[in-house]
Amino acid sequence: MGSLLRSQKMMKLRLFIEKSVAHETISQLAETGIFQLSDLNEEKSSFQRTFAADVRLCDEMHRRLRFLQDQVDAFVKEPYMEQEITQEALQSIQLQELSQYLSDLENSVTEMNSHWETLKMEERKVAEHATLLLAGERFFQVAPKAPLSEYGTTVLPPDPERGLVNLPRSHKKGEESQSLLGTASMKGKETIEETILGYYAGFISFEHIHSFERILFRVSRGNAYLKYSSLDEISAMNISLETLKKEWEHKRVFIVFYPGVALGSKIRKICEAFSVSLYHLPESEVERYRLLQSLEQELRDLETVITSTQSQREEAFLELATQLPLWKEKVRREKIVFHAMNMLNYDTSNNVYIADGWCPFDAYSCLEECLDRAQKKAQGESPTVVEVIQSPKDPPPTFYKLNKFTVVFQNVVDSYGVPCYQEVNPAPFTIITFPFLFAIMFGDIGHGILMSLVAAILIFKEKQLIGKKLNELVQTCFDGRYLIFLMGLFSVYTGLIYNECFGISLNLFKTRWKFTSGSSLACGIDNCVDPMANKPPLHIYPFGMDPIWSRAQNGLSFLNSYKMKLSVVVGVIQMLLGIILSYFNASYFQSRLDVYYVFIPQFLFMSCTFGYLVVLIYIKWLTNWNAPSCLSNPNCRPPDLKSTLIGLFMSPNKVPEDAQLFRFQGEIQSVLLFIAIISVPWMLLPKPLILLYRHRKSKVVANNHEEQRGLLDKDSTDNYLSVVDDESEESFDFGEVMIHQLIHTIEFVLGAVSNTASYLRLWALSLAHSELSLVFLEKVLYNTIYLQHPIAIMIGFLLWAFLTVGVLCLMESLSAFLHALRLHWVEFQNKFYNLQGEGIKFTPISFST
Amino acid sequence: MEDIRDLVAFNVDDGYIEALVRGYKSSLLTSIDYVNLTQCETLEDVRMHLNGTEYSTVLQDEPSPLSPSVIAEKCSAKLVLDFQYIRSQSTYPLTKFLDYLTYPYMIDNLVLLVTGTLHERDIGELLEKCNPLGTFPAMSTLSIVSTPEELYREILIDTPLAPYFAECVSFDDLTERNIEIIRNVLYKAYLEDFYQFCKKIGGTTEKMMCEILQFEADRRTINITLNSLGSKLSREERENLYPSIGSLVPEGTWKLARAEDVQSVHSILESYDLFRRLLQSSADNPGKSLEDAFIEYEVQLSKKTFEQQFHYGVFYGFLKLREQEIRNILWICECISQRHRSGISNYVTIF
Repeated sequence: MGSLLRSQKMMKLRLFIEKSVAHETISQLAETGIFQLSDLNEEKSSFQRTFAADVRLCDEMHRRLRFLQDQVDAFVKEPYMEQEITQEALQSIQLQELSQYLSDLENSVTEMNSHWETLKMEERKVAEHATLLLAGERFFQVAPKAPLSEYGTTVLPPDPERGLVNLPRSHKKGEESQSLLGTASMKGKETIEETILGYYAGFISFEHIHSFERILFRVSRGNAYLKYSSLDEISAMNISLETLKKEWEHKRVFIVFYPGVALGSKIRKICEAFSVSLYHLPESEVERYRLLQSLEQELRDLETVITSTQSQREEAFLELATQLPLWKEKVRREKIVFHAMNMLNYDTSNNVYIADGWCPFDAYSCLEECLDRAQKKAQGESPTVVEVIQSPKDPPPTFYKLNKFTVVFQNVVDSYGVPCYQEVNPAPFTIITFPFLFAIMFGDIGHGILMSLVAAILIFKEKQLIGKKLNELVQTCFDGRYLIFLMGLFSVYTGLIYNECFGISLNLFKTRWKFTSGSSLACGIDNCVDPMANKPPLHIYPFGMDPIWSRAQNGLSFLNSYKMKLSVVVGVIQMLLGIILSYFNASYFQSRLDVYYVFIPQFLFMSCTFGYLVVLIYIKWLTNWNAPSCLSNPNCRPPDLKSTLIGLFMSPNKVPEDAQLFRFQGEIQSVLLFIAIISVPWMLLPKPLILLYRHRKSKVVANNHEEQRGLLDKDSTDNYLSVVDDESEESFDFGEVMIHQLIHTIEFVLGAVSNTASYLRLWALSLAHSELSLVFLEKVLYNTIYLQHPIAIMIGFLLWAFLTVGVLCLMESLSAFLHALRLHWVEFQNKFYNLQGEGIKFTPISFST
Repeated sequence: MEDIRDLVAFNVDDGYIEALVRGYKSSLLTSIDYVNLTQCETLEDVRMHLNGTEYSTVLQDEPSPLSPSVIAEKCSAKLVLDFQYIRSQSTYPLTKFLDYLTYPYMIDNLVLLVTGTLHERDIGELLEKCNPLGTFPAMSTLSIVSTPEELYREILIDTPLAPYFAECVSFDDLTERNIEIIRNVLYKAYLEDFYQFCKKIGGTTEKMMCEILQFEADRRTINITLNSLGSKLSREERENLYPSIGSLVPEGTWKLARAEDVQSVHSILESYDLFRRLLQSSADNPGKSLEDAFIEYEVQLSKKTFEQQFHYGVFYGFLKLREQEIRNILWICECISQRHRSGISNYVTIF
């Protein structure tokens, strides 16, 4: 605890590192992670620094590695062994060589890819062409046949309504043009066909087809005919298309017919614009068949080439995959080292690098060892010189030696604010108080056991889970596993006190009350001679609440009064602890002012008002109101503490006789109130006034100095004076100090009331929790059990279990957690913590992530 | 009254997107960034510096060596991505507003493509040069048209520019002069339409956008005048190209249409406070043209849009500022790669 209460002692060092050893030294320091570098080149932007080129090289290598990783991820499907990352392996890699190697690799991979792409493209083209031929056959086959006149118009079959008419060609274009073709090829009238109709066939992606069609229509003014079909419709395909299937799902085969050469060239341009792949589709069936044969042969040849290339590629990538993690780690480390080296200062006269930084006091010997090792390794001629900087200008960083248990609690504190150097750290107190406050709100044996079980499993599986990528929710729970475990255990404890297990009161030690037929009220088991008297038991329930209270009609008000008082007691004690901690801070930093004029009045104020309330609560608890002597006295009745507290402020010396708890209560209350009132101006005035007095005094001293010096040397005094004036004006402004103190005082006095009231949330949440679990138990579980139907009971139980876990254990615990967090951050820590602003966390150069 | 309506109802649909844009705006490069950028020795340094800004992910996967055009291209790709994201999140009046913002790019692309095909350049090459914000369907098929009528009937009919084009259909053929006129007519029609749209939206949007659009119209009027001095454009033709909005309407435009030389243009503008100031500032600094002064004033206006809340002007402002930022980056990169250190500080500082 000693090391957790105050942060580690730090020392500022200046290292003079020989030029040739610098890199090795930094990497050794990063290995151990005990040295925080200060940036000596703050005024330089990132690219003006000495090692900017090296950082850039690392960036470039990172980019190449990312590229290679993408390639590997895309092509290597089977699992592979990653090479283990060891020190030796990392050491053996030279950065320059690796960079060269990576650039070669990138080139060869790109080349390989482009080769692969061309192969694939070739394959696609051939396959598409072959498919097109098949599809073209269909296009031609389904076309109806009609006789063709000499002028290229068709003679329509006689229409009974219209008679025999030669329609202009623009009508019913589709059937016409196809039939034209059909007849043309059949009759072999190439001359006519060529001059009248041309056609293009090809592949187009599905999403373009409509705009394609539209623009064709507009350009040709309706004189072009487009027919397309999806590839699924062409079933008779004897080419294996597995690799292309996916791509083809979004493609359509089309054929477009058009009249005239000019339109043809336009349509060709449109096809180009839509990046359509056009293929040759011969007219005659024989030619088509011949072409298809040759294409199929080509495809088979291509496929053999592709398979062999594929296996080659996979081999190459597999080899790459095993190496990649090692290279990545190496580059990452080098980048860290170069970043750190960019913070060094180069002394040109002595050829040494100067490094300023912080190191924990305890780790000094470790640092020296580290420097020694680095010097030997890099075969430096002179050892690194270490100089301790006695009074550093920047504030030292805050550093705690944490383990996996304490780190959670330190994080809870740090999320509010990092402690200043050597300030009292609330974390060690938080270890106990946080789960305890949580448990007061979450007191239930069953829920507590569930919670600690989950945490226990996480702790048990710690070794397997650590470092793995988990889902966000699990990760949060895993990070806070020790905290959750403690919260669960404490909840079991408070649950035992509240005597609640999933909302049921346990009858562990046999209840000490019983109901008799003699009275509607219960009486004590061992004190029930006269049932009408309703005497309490002589021997009370040994631990926690008597289970009878859960059934009693006044059970709720009894529990409320108990929990409310408990909340106030816990709250006041925790706040007093906070105030006492402020004393430890003040005495540690030897600030007598803060001890006498901040701590003492604050402590007195708090203990005289709410501390007194706690004493009253205990007296009320410990008094036996059923003792015979008390029963006989009409004034001996339990008083209402709220009105007593109000009475303390309104009329301290007059306590009603029936509300008196002890003798001389009025007099004592007067004294307490007097002290409390006195401590307010005590907090407010002396500190700023004393500061003002001190400031004046120092100024007088300075002036005296100046007068004496003035006689000797005028020039130097002018400078001296201006320096003093500047400093004092900067450092002291009475108005500001006064207002600051005023705000603090008001905040404390008002805060004493509001913070105490704030602790009542402990009671409120605890009430909500127990009532909610009772409601679920009675309305969901009991009601379905009364139905006595197995299915209903099953559903009821499942619903109840779900609600218990989901609502009570997850949501309720989250809200209790947040309230506990708030009570720590605000009510507890504002008494002593981070009053002088936040500290800086110790961030050593380190390779570990 | 309308302001209150903005206040109450703006956030229902557009609050999230406005917040988004304000976030984008706060990530714009500051003057410190620019100072650092101008100190760069190589483009690699520029990359290193940009890595610490909003553009950090943009350049990280680019292989060395970099070129200024690649950097600018990547940065604009980011702008396009951001803009499209905003566009996809928006609902009706804002969506339309954002579409309006892309029309000028469409006009530019159209003109670029038509001029390119006129000179028989490769369409693929031209498409690469087009601004991705102004893509429209059938853009790639532009090469098939040879007359304005075809252009209208086959290409533009599907685009939002179609109504603006009505006046140009009567031209006989696509010559360079005609294309330039088409561009200006389109732009004029666009500005007037956008102006009306902003008026219809009303409220703060109207106040903000109408000022900007009026300035834009004035700027076009002046530029048309200056560029057409000494050309064959007749007085009526010239006047026909002036947008009918703007602070110069009607007196200024009437006079400008009759201006014969630069001197007379300047003397006409002298009577307008804003343009006198801009003319003055360009006259005071030798390296600065009137156009530079216009750009600076545009940046001012764009920045001003962020000073009020609950209006659409911020989207316009954001787009313009980001565009200017990319131009700045491109300028600095060009200066660095051409070792032209003396002109490097001729960028427009935004914040």
